[in-house]
Amino acid sequence: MATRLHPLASAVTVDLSHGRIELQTPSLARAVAVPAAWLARAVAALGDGVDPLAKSLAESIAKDAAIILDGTNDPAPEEVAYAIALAFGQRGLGIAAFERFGDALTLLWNFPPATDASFHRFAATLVGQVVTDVTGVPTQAAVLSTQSDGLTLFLGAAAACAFVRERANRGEAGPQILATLLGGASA
Amino acid sequence: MSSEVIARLETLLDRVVTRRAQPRVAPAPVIVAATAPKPIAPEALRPEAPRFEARRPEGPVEARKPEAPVEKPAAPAAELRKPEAAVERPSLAEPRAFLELPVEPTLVARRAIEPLSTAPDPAAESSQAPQKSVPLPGPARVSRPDDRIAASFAAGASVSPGLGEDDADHVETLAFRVGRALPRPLQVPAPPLPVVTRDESGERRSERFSPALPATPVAAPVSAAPVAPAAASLRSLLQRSVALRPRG
Repeated sequence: MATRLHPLASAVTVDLSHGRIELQTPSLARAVAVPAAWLARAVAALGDGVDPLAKSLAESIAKDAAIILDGTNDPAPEEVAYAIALAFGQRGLGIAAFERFGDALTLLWNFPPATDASFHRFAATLVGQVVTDVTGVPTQAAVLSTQSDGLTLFLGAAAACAFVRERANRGEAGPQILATLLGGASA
Repeated sequence: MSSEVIARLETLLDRVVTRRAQPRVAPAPVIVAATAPKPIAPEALRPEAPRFEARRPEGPVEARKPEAPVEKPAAPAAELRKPEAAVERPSLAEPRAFLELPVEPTLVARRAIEPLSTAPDPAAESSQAPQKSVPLPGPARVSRPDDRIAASFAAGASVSPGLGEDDADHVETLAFRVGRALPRPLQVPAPPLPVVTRDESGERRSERFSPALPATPVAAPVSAAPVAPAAASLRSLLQRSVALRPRG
């Protein structure tokens, strides 16, 4: 089954006279553009109540990614990365790619709205839900490491994500966390 | 035609063929004054007419005709020639110039340069230093260029006479014609590829999956070859990652 490319032409229309930004996408007819810092502040203000917002956003992102994949059976990592990155990019959320370390699979979220610790829970909930909806595999995510312009999130089960989250909060480096996790798995 | 004329024509034609096979290096001007007792016909000077026109653009059209004092053989040539004619005469005798002319003017020009001597002119040979390695064929040794090239290869030469090392295509052609293969560089056999048995479950190397366009719609118009399936789907990779359990 062929993968349908998502149309990018005229995807965003900035109507300055009416103060509106129109997205020509099947899922959204109108969007409000806010600075990324405002989104980070709103996420930090929500605290523990950030999960509904993240899951709601993940639902729309996964729907667009599914349209881009167009029913491709068992897509390759590059194809899913393309679909998710395009759905992220249409919302100004950056781009995404997958990376594998042994059996551990991670998602690199480049240029997210924020990278500080208050954004980590929102990012993990959003990414885990998007991957679950796109692949059909129940998945959770945890922030493994933070870069200046990106986040690396581990994709796995709830127990492994809790392990990664606990080690990362102690300041342990991402590769060391994965080495520990993979050593435990092979033992 | 008599046999003498035929032999003379064959000699001249063979020299032309030999010079065409030689590399086109800048030829040294041939001194004509010492070997030009005969006048040159006006037809042989026609290629030089534009030079007169360029020098005298204001002159009438009739002035472009060959000047009589240059062509008259009655008076001594050294005394009657004007300086400008003396400057232009060597350009007529340039080997490249007469190689470009048709057969009949070539014969006239050769007659002006070398007065039908069967032996090669030592003055002309000494003035053409880059062509000394190629022996000029005399009437006693009339041979084809292919025969000389074959003899050169048989003597051990890797490049045919008159060719540089960069004339690879021509050398290949000549080597094919003489039926002898050119020396090839030694081919070092590649070491055998190591046999690796991969254990996917215990593999620790990293691999990045950047966003990429699906191969199917892009490759279909270009090639009808079947698209190779992906090594591993994201779902299988994700299932292996989900199966990871922390120690304890």
